[in-house]
Amino acid sequence: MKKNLRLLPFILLLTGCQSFLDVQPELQVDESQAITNGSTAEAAVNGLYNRLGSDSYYGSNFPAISYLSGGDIQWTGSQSDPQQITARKLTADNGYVGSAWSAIYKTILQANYLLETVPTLSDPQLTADRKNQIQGEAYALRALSYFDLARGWGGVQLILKATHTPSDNTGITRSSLDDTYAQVLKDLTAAEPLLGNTTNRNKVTRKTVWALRARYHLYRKEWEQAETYASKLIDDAASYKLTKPYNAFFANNAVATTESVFEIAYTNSFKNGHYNWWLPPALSGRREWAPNDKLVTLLNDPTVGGNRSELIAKTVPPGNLWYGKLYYRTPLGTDPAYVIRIAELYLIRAEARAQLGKTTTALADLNAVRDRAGVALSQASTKETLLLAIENERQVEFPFETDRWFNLIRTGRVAAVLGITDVNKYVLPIPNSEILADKALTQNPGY
Amino acid sequence: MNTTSMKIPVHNVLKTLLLLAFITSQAFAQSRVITGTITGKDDGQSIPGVNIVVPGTNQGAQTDANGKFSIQVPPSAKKLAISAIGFVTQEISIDNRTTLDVALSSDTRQLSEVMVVGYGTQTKAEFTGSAVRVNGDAIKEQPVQSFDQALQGRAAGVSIAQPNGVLNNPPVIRIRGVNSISLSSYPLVVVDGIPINTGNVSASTAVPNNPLGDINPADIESIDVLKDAASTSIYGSRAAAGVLLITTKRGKAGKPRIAYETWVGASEVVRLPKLLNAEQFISIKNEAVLNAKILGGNATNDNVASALFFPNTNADGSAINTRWSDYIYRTGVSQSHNISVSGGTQSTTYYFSANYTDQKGFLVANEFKRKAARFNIDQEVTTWLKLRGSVSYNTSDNQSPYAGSLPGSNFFLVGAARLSIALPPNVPAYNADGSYNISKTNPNTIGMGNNLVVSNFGNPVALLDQNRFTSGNDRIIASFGATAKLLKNLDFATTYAIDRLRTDNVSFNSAIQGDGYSTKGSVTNVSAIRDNWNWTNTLSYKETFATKHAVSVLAGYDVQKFNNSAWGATRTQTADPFFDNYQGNWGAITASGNDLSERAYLSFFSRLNYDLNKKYFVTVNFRRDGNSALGTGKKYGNFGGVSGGWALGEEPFYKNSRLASTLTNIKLRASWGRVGNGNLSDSYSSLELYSGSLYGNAPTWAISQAGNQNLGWETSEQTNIGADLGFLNDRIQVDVTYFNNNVNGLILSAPQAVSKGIPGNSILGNVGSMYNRGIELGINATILRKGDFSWNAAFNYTNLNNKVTALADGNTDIVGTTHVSYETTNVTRVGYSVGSLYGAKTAGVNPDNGRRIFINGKDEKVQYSQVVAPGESQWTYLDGKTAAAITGADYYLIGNALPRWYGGLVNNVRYKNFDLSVNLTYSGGNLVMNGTRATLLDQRAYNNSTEVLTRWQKPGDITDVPRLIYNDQLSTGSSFPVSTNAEKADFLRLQNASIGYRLPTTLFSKIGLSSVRVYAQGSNLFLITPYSGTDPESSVNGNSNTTPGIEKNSVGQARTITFGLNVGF
Repeated sequence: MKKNLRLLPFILLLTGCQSFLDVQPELQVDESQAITNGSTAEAAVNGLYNRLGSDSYYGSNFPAISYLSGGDIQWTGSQSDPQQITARKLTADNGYVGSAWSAIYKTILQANYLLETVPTLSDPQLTADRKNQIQGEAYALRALSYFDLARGWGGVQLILKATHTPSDNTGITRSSLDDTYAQVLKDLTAAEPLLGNTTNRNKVTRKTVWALRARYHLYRKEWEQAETYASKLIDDAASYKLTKPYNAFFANNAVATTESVFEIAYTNSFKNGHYNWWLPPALSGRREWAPNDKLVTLLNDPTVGGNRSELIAKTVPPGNLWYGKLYYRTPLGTDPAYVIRIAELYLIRAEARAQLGKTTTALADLNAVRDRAGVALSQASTKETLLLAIENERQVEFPFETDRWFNLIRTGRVAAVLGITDVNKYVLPIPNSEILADKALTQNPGY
Repeated sequence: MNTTSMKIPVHNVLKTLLLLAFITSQAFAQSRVITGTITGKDDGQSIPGVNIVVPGTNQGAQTDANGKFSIQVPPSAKKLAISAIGFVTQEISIDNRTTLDVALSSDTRQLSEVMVVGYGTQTKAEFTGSAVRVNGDAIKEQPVQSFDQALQGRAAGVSIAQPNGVLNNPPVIRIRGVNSISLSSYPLVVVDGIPINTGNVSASTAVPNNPLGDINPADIESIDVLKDAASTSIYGSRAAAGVLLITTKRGKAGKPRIAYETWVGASEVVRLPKLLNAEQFISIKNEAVLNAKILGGNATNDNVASALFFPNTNADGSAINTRWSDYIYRTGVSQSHNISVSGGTQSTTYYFSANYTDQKGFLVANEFKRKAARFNIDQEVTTWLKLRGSVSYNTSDNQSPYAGSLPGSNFFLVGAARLSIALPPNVPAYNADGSYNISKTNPNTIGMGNNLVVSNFGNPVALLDQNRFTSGNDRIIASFGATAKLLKNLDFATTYAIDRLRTDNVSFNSAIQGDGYSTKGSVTNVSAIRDNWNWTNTLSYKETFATKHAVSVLAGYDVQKFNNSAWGATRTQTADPFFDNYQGNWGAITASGNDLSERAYLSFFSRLNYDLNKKYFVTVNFRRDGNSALGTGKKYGNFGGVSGGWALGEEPFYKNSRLASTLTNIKLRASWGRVGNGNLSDSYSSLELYSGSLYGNAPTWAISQAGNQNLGWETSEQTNIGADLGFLNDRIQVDVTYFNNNVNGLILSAPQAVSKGIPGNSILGNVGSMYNRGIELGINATILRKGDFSWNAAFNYTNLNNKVTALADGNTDIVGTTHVSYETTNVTRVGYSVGSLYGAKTAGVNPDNGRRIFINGKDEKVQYSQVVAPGESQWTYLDGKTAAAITGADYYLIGNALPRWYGGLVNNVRYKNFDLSVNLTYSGGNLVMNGTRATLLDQRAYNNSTEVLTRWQKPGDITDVPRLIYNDQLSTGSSFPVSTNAEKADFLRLQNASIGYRLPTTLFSKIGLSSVRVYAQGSNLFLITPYSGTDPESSVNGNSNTTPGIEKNSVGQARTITFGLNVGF
């Protein structure tokens, strides 16, 4: 009996621990519990902006691909990826191109999640207006993402549903460029009525959609609509006007000025990567690239750059090296990323009007931008001279933003301006990693 | 001399002893008394419990706790037989003596050895699996930081490589090869019953922190390596990569034994590459500059420089010629002290030890310190209840600069190994005024003096002086256990153990030089707690039926929980350079290094051993394992194994055969088992997760991981067939084993189309298969044993073949990268071994023009020139026509990166009081990518090795060094790996050699010392290898399964010489 008593503790030890293996993360949340109510939906839509502003997208890589390709920026660092882009000797292995592609599709996935989940939520805190607003933002940012893919890579595969399991979204082939753009328009059209007609420079509103549409129609050479949509913002002078002087939209830590239609906000905990590549080592960057002599000359020319010379500065002697200082703030990386500014809408409308033969009003729009920069007003009077003047204006107005390369490709002027005659190089290569992982995908010719 | 007795099972010996004790109590008339002391020949320590009998009689006695005995012997007695477990039995003539002091030799025969197996022990005779025991003495004198580093070459089937020479870096341990692709291939390490944290717990890529360094090597009694499924399956899913069972020392009954062990040593760097001196550097670099000018069509263009490199002079006018390695490496002096006290009574035994070690590496600012204490106690409370307790407390602190040798660090511009070879020799470390030589225009780089170029690199002297990276542990490993005899033959054992590891990581980057420059200084403190507890309960039953059916059954369960929590912050923008601590005054702060995770294991297991007449053995294991990291519904798995043995040598028909006189012992064994692997590095891998971030200041949710609810176990089915052979009375013992390990359901990141937008572009799934097949051979031989001279040798050899048989989604290759995503160095491809070397195929240098020739994916020869005249192409076919550039699509599988054969040879020689030990290790059959050669031939402003002097200079030159063109980093392998840098990794290393001398007892016995031994030893004394780089064992990807065999910009192993002293009181 006594011996049997000794068995007792052992039996007690065997009593169960059924839920012992059910361990849940505390820093992350399972998808099923992620977007469940109003506040989590709001957080998830913020997550969409976070994706849009990631380093690989508007946080630096995507704009860099554009301005590095544009012939005005020189490669001054040690990394081979930006060197390839600057020299326009891109291969399908290029890391910048690969990570930008990947980041854009991550943004699209987040939008797809929101579009799939938010309509199903039932939370009294989440009003119909808020639901619409969130879906509108998701549509609009998906449109922006496909627009960026289209102008970068051409027609791409259209992923319009969320990916949950490995078998989702497989075997989708590339759509044509027209179909890709059609999706952009479809999403913008869907977004417009869902969004409020308010002004918010860090988030998408109906006005942001108009601005994106203006740019879309310009790229599609739909001049009347480009003019119409650009006018919707330019006419809203209470909300949007050109800041004067030029640097007022970024200097002295300015954020969300009237200049900005849509800029991405950063903090010390969510950084814009641009500073690292532009600033010289003495200012805590790498100066991996810098404005080249041609651009420095243009910006410093009072008749061309005007007060846009504030975009650049020189390191202290004996270095005396020019560097770009659009992204300059302390703490480092808190500079906004400029997605679309009112100056661009002026130049969109100027171009659309020039194309439509409205040379006088076109010139006025152009000169609004020139006037703000403190340069003499243009006297261009013909469509051709106006278009050239607008092209040149864009060069010095947006040298460190996402414009120059795509603009020259759009207008077909890239061969004339940059001497690049191989049309295969007018689009970026599809990243090798994507080609390897996705048998349904075809590479752009020439890569 | 070697006779019987050791095959008697332990409990029979005990019975005999008791019987003898009874008998000896009855004195015989006219007999005489002989007294004496029995000591061990190896260490001079007295041995309690030695059995002394008069042969042919039933008279006997036992030594007491001090090794002393007293025996009544009849007048007729001529001899005494003296035997003890673990020692060779001796018969000594007594003549007329009344005192008799005998020194016993250790028994080298292993069949009587006790094997520690999962949740218990077995004798080697009963054991039918595959395992090796390494004695603690073999490692305690080695100048290592953790015991695992000292296991090189000591056990068949166990490959241990030192990926670099940074102190306390975890070695790469592979038991029977790589057994997974994405999960850890590090074996399970169990210390006194508790599985403990392994790997690298440092939060920094500068300083490693192997948590096994928290185990004082001098405390280790033995290490048992379990290799096959039959041995490991009791550990189920934890054991797919094998198991190391560590048993720490415990007390023995008797008077207190005090041992003091110490050594001092010096480490040096070896096999540094030969570099150009300043004069050669200037001429070579300017040749490249001039070539670039000419090839660019600028031969007559005065605006293009013909030379960019120029001499710099010291204050006295002499030319500066800096050997950077002199500033980066040093002779590191180390010392270690260990003191232990053990002893006890029949019911209580204890072992107490304290350890202090301070080891300085050959790399400046690399230093490892450990202070440790251990207390082990065993208490017999009643006849049926025994308690055992262990507490060890340890603090260790490791400091290292960026050596560029740890995983994910070899391309850092601050890596010391790279700086030592790449910096220009014609600039000084310090300016004439004693300040650091730092560029005035690019203040985060080295000053280039008269050279007209800017270097990317910093000044290593400033980096080593100013920056500081440490990772230190505070750790308690403690266990409490009880064994209760519930019924006759039925034992209950319980062990509760905790392993609480607190790691503090500090990374200080000064504003002066290095990674802190851009942020005006930065300091990151990350504190991590790894809290792990384990509770094991077993019931075991042992009975022998009808005298020949011996059965033992074990059943139990094991729960273990890991709670990991880490938090930290980075402060930047120093208020003043004075501050070099987190607590100082800084301008900005961000969170850093946060982690919070839990992992739970819950397992039930059982084992049945059966043997018939000690001739036929069967062991059956079963384990049901639960692991919280796996997918819902896949958390549990069933594993087990069966093994059998046949002691053919015990069969009468064999004993009578002629063969038996030579092949005295023969045992055949075979096992089959299935083990699992669920050692996911992330506790939540199966889940589809959202994680938070910020947009502006607003909180966000975004998808961060695509999960797979069906993520289940990797399983390996292991077959093991072997034989234990004893020749010439077991003077030569051979252990030969064939193994086949088929691993299925490998957890792999199935690459997903990027356009799906999934974070990481992959989802984990059980999609791959591979196998490891091979043969192990172990030979232990007493080569000579004659009088005072003995020579034992142990040789082991493993031949291993790894092949991947299936991968994810249409067998897509897995491309492995080294540090940066564009350095695609390895490929895992069906039909080849895991992590084969990968890169561009080269075909030498075109003798006509000095251009590197590559073979593209279409098998065409293309050549490259960094600089060409305007309008020409850098890439051309040999006929000059424009060719497409070599890209990832052209890379090919260069060769196998895993050793195909490896092993070691340990020799122990004793002569009188001298002992000599020589341990050789060897390995080969694989290639290693000598990425450092690419750095050494890089045509940027880097210095080069003297190999560059063999460069192509004129048509007709046959060489592998292309024509030098300034800024060319592609031709020699800096842009992407090239096959010409892949070299054979075969080597033979004198891992360790030591010579010791035991001072005669007469010299010091009066002052209370019982033994004194002095020794000298050296590690890594020579290396014979065709490999032209520093060390063919190097691996900059550490323990990675998919990227082995890459050496780039890293430090090799040290050569260490130590002098030691062991004193027993």
